[in-house]
Amino acid sequence: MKIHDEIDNYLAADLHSELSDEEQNALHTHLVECADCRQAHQENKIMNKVLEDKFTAEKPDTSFEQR
Amino acid sequence: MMEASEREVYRAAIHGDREAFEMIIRTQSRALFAIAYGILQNREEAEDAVQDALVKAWKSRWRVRDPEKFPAWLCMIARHRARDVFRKRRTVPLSEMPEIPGSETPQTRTIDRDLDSALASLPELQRAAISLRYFEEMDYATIESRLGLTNGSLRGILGRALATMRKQLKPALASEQS
Repeated sequence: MKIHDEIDNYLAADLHSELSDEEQNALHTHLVECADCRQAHQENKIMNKVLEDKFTAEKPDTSFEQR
Repeated sequence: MMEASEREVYRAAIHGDREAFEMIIRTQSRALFAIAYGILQNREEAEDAVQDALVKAWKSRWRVRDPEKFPAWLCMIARHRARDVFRKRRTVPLSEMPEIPGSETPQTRTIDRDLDSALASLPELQRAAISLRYFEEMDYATIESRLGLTNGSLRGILGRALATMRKQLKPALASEQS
C-alpha cells in the first residue's frame, strides 16, 4: 500500500520523469488496480499540460541574461 | 559535484572578478528569474527582484566561503528579495492591483485563471520549486541543490504542490477531461 499512501509524490515524479524503472512499474501496476489514483493521475496529466503551457508563454526572452 | 572550471569561475567571482561574476549572471539569471516569478507571478517584479538580488550578491559575495555553495546562495538571495516584494505587495488589496496588460483576454480559459489563483495559494517554497521545474525544466537533484533542500525532499514538495492545485482545480479539470 506504500504507493497508494504516497500517490501524490509518485504522480508528480512520474510526470517529471523522476521515477526509477522499478518505481514506474509499481506505480502503473497500482494505477490499473485503483480507480481513485487513476483519476488523480488523469487530472495531474491535464494540469501538467496547463502548467507547461503557462510557463512556456511566460518564459523570459533570450536577451534577459544580457540585461 | 561542480566541475573544476566552474568552481574556478565561482571562486574568481567571490574574489571580485567582474568578468567571472558576469559569466555567472549569464548562466544563473534564468533560474533566479524562475524562482522570483514563482513567488511573485509577475514578470516585471520578478525581473526587478533578480536585478536587486544580483546587486546584493555582488556586494556581499565575500560571505560565500565555498564556491560550490554559490549557486544555492544566489538562489536564496533571489528568494528573499522576491519574498520582500511579495510581503510589501500583500498590503495592497487585490482589487487595487494594476492589471497587467495582455494578461487577460476574453479567450482566457477558466482553467488558466483558476491555475493562477491555485499557484498563488501555495507556500513560497512550493511555488519556487514549481517554477524551476516548469520554466527551466531542471531535474529534481538540481532544484534541490539550488533551493538548499536535502536529497529526496523535492518529491514530497512537488507532490504536495500538485495535489493541492489538483484539488482546487477539480471542476475545471473535469471540464477539460470531458
